[in-house]
Amino acid sequence: MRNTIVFHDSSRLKAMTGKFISYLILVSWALITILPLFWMVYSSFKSNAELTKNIYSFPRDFFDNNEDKYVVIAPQLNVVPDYDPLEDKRERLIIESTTISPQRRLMLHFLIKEDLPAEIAALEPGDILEVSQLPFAMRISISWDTIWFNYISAFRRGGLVTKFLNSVIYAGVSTFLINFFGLMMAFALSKMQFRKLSYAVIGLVGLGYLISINSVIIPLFLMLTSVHLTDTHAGIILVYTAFGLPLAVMLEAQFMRGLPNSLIESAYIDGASTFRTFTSIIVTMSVPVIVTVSIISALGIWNEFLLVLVLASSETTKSLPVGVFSFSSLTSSQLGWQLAALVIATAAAILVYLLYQKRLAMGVVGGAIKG
Amino acid sequence: MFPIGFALIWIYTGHYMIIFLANLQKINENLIEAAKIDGASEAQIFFRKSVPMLSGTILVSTVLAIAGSLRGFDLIFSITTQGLQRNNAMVLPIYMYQTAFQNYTNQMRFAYGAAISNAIVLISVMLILFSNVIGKRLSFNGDE
Repeated sequence: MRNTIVFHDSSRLKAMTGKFISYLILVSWALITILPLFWMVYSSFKSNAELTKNIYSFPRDFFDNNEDKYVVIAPQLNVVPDYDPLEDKRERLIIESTTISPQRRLMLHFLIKEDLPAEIAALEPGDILEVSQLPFAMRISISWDTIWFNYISAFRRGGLVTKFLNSVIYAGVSTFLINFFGLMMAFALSKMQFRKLSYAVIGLVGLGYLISINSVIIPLFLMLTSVHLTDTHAGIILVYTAFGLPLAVMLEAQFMRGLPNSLIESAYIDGASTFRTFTSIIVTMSVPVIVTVSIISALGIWNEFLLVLVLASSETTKSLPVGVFSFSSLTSSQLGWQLAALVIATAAAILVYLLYQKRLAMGVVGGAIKG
Repeated sequence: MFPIGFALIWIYTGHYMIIFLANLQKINENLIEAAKIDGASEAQIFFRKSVPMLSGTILVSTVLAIAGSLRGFDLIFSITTQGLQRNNAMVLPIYMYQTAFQNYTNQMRFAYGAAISNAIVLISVMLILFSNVIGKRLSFNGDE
């Protein structure tokens, strides 16, 4: 290494500028990372008109809703009530917003006439009324609905509830199965006395790690079709489990190899069977790696796209990413709804990330890299 | 093209940053201290100590990024709409998907699609082997 002469005064100045420049770069990069997410969240509260006018402005229409005008409409075929008309026979006044997608029967309210003042209950179809004229309780509920309009519509029209549940089922059940089988396999490979067989099995597992779902999607699809498992929860969960196992086995076997053998020996001397040793010693000691594996596989499955796109054809088996995708191609004119759906889809992943940031980084370093 | 590239950079920078961070933390502090005592500036330490020691990691990440973009499907598929726009941003997995699942008139569509995905796997494996070869050379130089 070359020697350089260091002057004390200039070196302090240099250190200051160096720090300033590095902070500048890091802060701007952090902003680049966070700003799109921030934009997505606040834009999901904007109305369609606002989104097309200026995509960077802050939401105003939905929050400033006290003077919104509503028009009274007559019951029609395309007016879908949010209550059961057979059960609930009370008379209602149907009003539609004149500002949020007017004439499209999207922003409707069904006000019970008994609760309204006489002069409003007597309004005829075509008449205009303002939110501020209504009783306090209704005003609150309408303004609440207005603020969350995009989210409510995304949930109702996009059937996001089932898709959210599907995603939870896929991620949860597959992660459980991956850990269940992965731990057993890792225990057998790392702590039991068949060396040669372990080498062969570990080689196979490593080979399985190289193959991604994307590269074998066509044979998978044909095989699952021939056993009638396409478009079922079981089929998708099975595939996720199979493709999640190699990583789990590798990480868990690596971790278990680090556990001392004397633990198992002392358990054996105390009279524990192999299964008992596995459940009460090995599994309890490998909790950290179980958490790591669970987070990685659950997040991977949560974001997985191609498999569900190919296998799930009906709405009941679609997961959240595919649901949002098909929802956005159905409702290309309603940008706000799409943004709301995206926020819902992202929120869970971000929450998990914030809770388990350190573990996730450990998993990435431990070889859990999937581009 | 460029917006998609920018989005991909945005998505994966953090991922690779974690890998680099972990490997940087593994570097022996003594080496850097020794360099400081010898009077090296921060830039010199970075370019002459950290980067050469990370060369293996950089290489692996590069290969992973290339292999990952070979398999990248969801972002491009959902950003582009059907037709010309998607054809302009076509990558191998999308071509595979279109051949196998959207071209219903073709009798051989699954065979063609499988051939394309085999090609993707082949290219990835070749890249990995190539990176191994170069990685060995680099580490040999590092030992000198």
